[in-house]
Amino acid sequence: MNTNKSFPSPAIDIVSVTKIYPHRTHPVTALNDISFAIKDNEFFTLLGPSGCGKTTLLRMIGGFEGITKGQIQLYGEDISTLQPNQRPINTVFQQYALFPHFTVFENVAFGLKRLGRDQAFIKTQTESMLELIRMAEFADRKPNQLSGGQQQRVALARALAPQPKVLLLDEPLSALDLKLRQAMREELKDIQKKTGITFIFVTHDQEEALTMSDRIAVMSNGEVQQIGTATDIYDHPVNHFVANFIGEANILKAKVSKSDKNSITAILAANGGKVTITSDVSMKKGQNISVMIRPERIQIGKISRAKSALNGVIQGISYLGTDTQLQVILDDGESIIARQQNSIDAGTPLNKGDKVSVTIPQHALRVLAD
Amino acid sequence: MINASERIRWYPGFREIALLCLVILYAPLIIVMIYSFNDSPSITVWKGFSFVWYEEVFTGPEAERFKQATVNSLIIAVSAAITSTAIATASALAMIRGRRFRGQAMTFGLINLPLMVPEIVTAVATLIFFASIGFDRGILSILLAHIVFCIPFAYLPIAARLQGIANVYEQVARDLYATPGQTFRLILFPMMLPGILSGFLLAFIISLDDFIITNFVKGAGVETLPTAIFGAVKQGIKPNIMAISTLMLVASFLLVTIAYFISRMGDQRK
Ligand SMILES: Nc1ncnc2c1ncn2[C@@H]1O[C@H](COP(=O)(O)OP(=O)(O)O)[C@@H](O)[C@H]1O
Ligand SMILES: [Mg+2]
Repeated sequence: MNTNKSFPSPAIDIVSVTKIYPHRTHPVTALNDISFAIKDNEFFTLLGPSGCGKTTLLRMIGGFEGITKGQIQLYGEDISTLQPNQRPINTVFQQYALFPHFTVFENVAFGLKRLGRDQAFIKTQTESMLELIRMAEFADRKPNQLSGGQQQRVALARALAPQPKVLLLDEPLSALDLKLRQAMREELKDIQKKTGITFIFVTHDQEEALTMSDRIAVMSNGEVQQIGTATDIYDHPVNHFVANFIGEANILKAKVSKSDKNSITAILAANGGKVTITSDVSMKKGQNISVMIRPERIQIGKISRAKSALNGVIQGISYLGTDTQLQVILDDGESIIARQQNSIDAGTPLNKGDKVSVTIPQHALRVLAD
Repeated sequence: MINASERIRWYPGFREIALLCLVILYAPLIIVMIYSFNDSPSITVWKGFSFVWYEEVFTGPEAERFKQATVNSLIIAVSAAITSTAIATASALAMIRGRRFRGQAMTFGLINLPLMVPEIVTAVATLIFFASIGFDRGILSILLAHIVFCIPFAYLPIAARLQGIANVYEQVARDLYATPGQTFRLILFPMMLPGILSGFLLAFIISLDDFIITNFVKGAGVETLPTAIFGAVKQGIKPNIMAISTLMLVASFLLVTIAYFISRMGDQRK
């Protein structure tokens, strides 16, 4: 738990780790010199598109893949050379891989038995794990008599039972259907809180990452692009990749006209409007930059004479249930996506071809690195 | 009426050809089985139902010879099946779970090649081999030859089974604090067991009914059931041979059935 001050060091410390899969002609660099730390009792998520190296990193933490360069530490101790069975870390694999010849109970008790815990403890701990995942009445079933969701929960209980210091989860929900997946998100989050075990969760699903995690590492091409809370990475993406991968982003071109300590002033290419954006990255005057704004921060209205507004024509309208998404072509040809909530008093509906004004609140603009 | 989907899959003449094949395959066996119950020394004229030839097998003048041959056959088949299954299991683990090594494809070929070499060639080669190293021919030479030619038969079902077991089970076991030895004993071996049992049964049957190689490498006076039967037939076919054949047929049939149910049991577990 957080109150445990005997662990001053991070749960997991990834120190300049590189992974190269050797190959005669095409060696693959799966991870390129990454470094970051995962705190004790954190729900930490590795998020990124398929092939970015999430599984590779998780398997290296678990001990299933060698480290080409660098070091992985568990509470300050180098574990890089330990076998998987020597690491107090357990994994929930993407394929649940319950042992088919064991009952649910035997599956969950497996780790405790190997650790040589005494019979009485194994029994109570296994039973309390089955309780935790609400599977107590299935203890004597074989895995092939369980549904996918139940198998998933047993795999989770099996990995939790030995009370590992860190639990690794590799896209554990991806094989479940939508409703079950949403329910399991809550349950996982809940179990993490109850057990106080550090979770490292891998997913390519941004919604999953945003709803569950304390912190998220956004990865692409074997590199960590940004680490932060859900709000950090959604609201303050550091670069194009993060802005585009998490949610939707409008990216506008601009030119720096003034750079202060905490803000820069820039001229939007679209209409020559002047905007001031908070940013602690200093820029040179005259430098070309990209600024980002989320679709729901944009206000669309009937044509107005306001100076800061951009003018455009509605090119497409998609109804999305709670929202309506509008695609607007600005006068300079740039395309912008905006979202409006569908409330009862939304006023006169907009139609395709309408001339509109697009208002961009300055405080919602973000400067992106390339 | 034949409905449309059946008509598409219907080819003229195929049914007749299939029936003909079945008759050719099974008619001799069925005739042997029927005539083993014939109450007459004739092997072609039916005189009535009786068990005399079965009595003859167990109590007649040749009974002692057949009994000794059966004991030899069983000793050889059990030992050869156990040994070749153990070797085949180890090879399958090395080929499928071990690190990749140079010459892996060639090794795979070498393991399975004996299936394609004409048996008579193997028989002659084995005989020459034993003769050239001065190995005494007897039960032991038969056993060694059987172990060797049973390996590929045992290997096939074991390798097929192992290939169907994803690596992740072993990784889960290692993750849950099992040593490599425990992982094999508690997880991989039980999961491979249906394949190992089918491999064992296949090797057992192959060894039990081998004639050609056995006939070459056996010493004078040492008989297995097939060579004893062949020896008896050379002096004229009596219906007691049919009775023995029927007994062997039933035994084989039982073994194959058991093997089938074992492999099905394994599939259901998956
Ligand atoms: N065993 C392997 N051998 C060679 N390349 C691999 C191996 N495993 C993964 N890779 C490559 O490493 C990269 C990262 O893969 P992976 O870690 O599985 O990504 P993710 O889990 O994010 O989808 C990919 O380009 C993949 O093709
Ligand atoms: Mg993956």
